[in-house]
Amino acid sequence: MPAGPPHPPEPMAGSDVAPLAQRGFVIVAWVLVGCLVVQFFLVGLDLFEAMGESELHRDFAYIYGWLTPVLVLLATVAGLPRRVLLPTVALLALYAIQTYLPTIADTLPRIAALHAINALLVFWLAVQVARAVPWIPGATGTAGR
Amino acid sequence: MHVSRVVFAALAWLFVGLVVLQVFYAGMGLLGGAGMRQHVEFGYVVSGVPILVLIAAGAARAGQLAVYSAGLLLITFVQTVLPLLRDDLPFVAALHPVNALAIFWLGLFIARRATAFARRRAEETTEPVQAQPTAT
Repeated sequence: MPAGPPHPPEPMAGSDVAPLAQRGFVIVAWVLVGCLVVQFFLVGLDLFEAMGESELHRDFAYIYGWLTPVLVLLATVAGLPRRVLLPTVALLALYAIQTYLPTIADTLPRIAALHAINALLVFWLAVQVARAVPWIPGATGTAGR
Repeated sequence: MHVSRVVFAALAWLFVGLVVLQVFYAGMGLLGGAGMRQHVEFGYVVSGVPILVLIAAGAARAGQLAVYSAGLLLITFVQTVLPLLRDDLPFVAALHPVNALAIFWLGLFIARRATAFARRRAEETTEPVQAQPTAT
């Protein structure tokens, strides 16, 4: 059988997964931003007892908290650059700190009070991370413009 | 003109700093066992600063930034009203933390833009002077 022209190399499985992971990252990042806005509203509901005595804010945090490790996973699979990966890991760390802070309210109240400021920081970083990654792989993000 | 732009940027950053402090006082009230009195009283101090930001924006002829500063003044005023609605309209009052987020975000936006605005003017006024020809 005569040898034909060489076939082009088969695309690696990872090359198909990376763009999907990048799009997944963008979706999850903006969902996280939306959840954070809702979370701020739930603080208000609990604070002003709009729903009676409730802990909606605390319960909701455990519902969407898993989005931050998922973002780290998606960033790794998508092969996002370090300028995105590092803030994403920082976001995970800040979120973990955020859930820990209220637990030390009795022993270290002044440190626990940073829960509110850390919430601002988490929101700011989440928006930066979401804006940093374009929907279309290869295009440039909008963060820093 | 340049001084007014620097004052505008400085006031905008001052406001952002005060908002962060105010958020800390909220945290102290909720988790620090300090009660909400400090947060409430400091809130009235913070809510006065956007008036100065707006005046400074006008003096600096900041254009669109002056419009944003007016918006900042408006939502800061709304912020002081929201807790008063807790008995009649608790779901509206619950927007207090969300509005705080909007105030922080808009304040930060204005402060960053005002800084760029002041720097641009500074660069315009410090352009290198062309060397004068000297007689030999």
